[in-house]
Amino acid sequence: MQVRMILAAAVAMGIGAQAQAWEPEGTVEFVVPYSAGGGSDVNARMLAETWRANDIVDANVVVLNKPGGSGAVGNTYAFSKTGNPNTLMTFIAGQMMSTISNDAAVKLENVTPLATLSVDTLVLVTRSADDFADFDALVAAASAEPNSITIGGVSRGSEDHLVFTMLSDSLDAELQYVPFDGGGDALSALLGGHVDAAIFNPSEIGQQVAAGRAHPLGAFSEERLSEPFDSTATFAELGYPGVAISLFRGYAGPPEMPAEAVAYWEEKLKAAYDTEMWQQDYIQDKGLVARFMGAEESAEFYAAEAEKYERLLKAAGFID
Amino acid sequence: METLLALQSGFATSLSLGNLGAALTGAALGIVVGAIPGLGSVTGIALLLPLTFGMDPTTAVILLAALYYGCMFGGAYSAILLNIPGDAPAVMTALDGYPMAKRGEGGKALFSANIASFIGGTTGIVALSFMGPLLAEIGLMFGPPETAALILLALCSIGWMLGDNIAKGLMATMLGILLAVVGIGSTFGHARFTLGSMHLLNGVSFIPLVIGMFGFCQLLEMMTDRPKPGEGPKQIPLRAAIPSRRETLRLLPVSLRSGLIGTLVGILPGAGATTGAFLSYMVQRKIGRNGAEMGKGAVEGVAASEAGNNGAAAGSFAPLLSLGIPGSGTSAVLLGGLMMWGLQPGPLLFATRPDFVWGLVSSMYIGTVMAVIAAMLIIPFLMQILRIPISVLIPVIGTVCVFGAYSVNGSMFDVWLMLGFGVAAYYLKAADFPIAPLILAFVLTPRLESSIRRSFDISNGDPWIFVSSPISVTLVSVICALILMSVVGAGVSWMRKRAAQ
Repeated sequence: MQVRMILAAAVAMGIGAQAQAWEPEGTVEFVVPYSAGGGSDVNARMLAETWRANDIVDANVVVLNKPGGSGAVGNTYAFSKTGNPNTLMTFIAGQMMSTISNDAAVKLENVTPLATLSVDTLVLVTRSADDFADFDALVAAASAEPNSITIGGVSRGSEDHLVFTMLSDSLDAELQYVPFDGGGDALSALLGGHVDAAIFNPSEIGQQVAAGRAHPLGAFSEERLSEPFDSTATFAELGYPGVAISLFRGYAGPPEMPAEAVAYWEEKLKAAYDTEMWQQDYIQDKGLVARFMGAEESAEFYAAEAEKYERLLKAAGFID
Repeated sequence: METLLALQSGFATSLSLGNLGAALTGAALGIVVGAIPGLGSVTGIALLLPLTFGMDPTTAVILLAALYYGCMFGGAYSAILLNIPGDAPAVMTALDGYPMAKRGEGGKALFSANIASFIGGTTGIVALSFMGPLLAEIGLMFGPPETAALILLALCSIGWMLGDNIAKGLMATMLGILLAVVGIGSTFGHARFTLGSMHLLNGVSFIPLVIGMFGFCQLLEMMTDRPKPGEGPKQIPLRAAIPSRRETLRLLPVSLRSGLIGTLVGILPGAGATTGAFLSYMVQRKIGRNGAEMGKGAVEGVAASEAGNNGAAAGSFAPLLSLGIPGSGTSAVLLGGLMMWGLQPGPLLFATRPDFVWGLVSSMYIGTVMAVIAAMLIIPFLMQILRIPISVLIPVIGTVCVFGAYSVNGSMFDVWLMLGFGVAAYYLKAADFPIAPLILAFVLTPRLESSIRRSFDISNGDPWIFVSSPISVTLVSVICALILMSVVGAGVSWMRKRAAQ
């Protein structure tokens, strides 16, 4: 085993000298473990378009949707391409979280992180300021009658359930979590007044906030978000330090991806990140926070996040 | 008046050469995609979406919307001709369409299906253009308890599907429920009955189930009981297949009513065209004049199902355009498309991009007319399928079944699943177990389960939530009345029997 690793390292170093020379040949498969039109799909297609329009990558990049099993089908597909330098995959926080909660066969150890280009977060919103002016009003109502305040989310064991658990653990009052099958159902339940509040990605709810159909109570981010959430306090500001989540949007390759390919894709991802097109059409328009992490930094960050999710999911009684 | 002006400016957009071409291309593609089993509107739009990346958003959405309702036309073809529903909303079409084809009325069923599709779709589009935002607000009034009551109402009608042997009918229903609970349960997020297989995490896919239980089972039956020479599909000249004016008029009330029901179902969160077709069919069965004939080859059954799913397809655009909420799987993909084209779907879309919204709505009128003309022109060719000898038809159906099951997720697992369900359905039918209630239970129970669980989550376990709003009170009363009526009816006939003795 050790001999093999040393050999692999030696080979990698040997080729490392000509790393810049490596270029993908033929078609590059860009795997999206979710269906077309979803967040990861839009992300991958935007990236491929940014590469093409700015002449960053010459190879033909084909986006391939492999939905199913909360990302497990796509993860497994990428895993089956072990060692292939021409296979990329979108890799996001929720996808990694589901490998932990479902105890999937392909986990973080089985992919090669390449880079992270942005982070997303979550916000807590209610229907209007008339229902609850701020988060304290919601807490007061919850204290008056336990479990009377309902918070909509996507599903148990998902990112929003995790922040819900973090939040309700730091309160004296009891809140009630109501899982909907997807963001769309949760949104109509909120707008129809069937739940008191709900948790969304800023980009999912931004248009409703701008139209005055939803009222943000707090942001699960480390720092203040941009418009229309610029006046929304973070939970740390509200007196709940540590109640925050950074949902990374990154990219990974199959296991044992050659080092020169990793270096190549890391560089190309950075180049896309630096374009005006990416910053404007993706980051700005989709309400995300731009953040670049290289291959090594991403690997460390994902490992730390995976550990955190495992701890939180255990605390929530979701896994044992 | 304001709406008419907006529509007028919309027509100015949609009548441009490029947009007309987009509507025609989309409608034609949709008919083909809908007719191929396994390729439904969700897959079709997902496949085409990446190609629209650099397009003008209005042209792109006109293309994809036309594909969506084109699918609803095409879905009826394989349902009627081969007993394989081309997509999920066409399941109810097969129930009456295929018996009609067997009787030699396949051509008539095809024409009726498309006429009904056109009327139902147009009803939905008119409702969308004049009451879109209002409809979306009505949809919001349906929370978890109201949705649960609505689905329960639909399930009530399972009674007449059970067949002669009630115990066997109920067992088939239970089997459908059992199959539906496989996968990650939405309430607790735990995997149920997945046998450790990653492919079952998302549950049993609907398409392999339907193709197996309808199409592949059909094939097995064809192989085991071959018709004697001289029997088999009768050949009908085209002229006899075109419905007469009287027959077309007979379709009108059914299609209008079903189109309206479909539209209303389409606006509800997460309901979609399949539920729209189901509910329209059921209402028709309850109040239609020859309700008892339905399921055995009544043209009203075909019309109700087809008008219902076209209405729902149009209706699901109301929450998408006016609130940015996807009402069905297909509109969820479209929502991603809107974002990809750089639009901001949400309540402000009508105000910020009226050219886009009204261009789309007006294109739907044109696209539906194009779709119905294209569909009618295809039918004479499709009718040739009825002349294909059974020895050729069997391998063709087999290929279609395998291809259809594979194309849903591009996985062989679904093919094995389809074959397994086909064999199972063959033995179930041989033992007099009805298949329709199984499918119905499979479609409706996941939604029923999650709605009931959510209601209890919201009310903290208090069952009174199911009668806490005017809508839910009405729905629950109707359910009670339906059950009471059948109990009283059974009691009266029992008394009469006793008195007669």
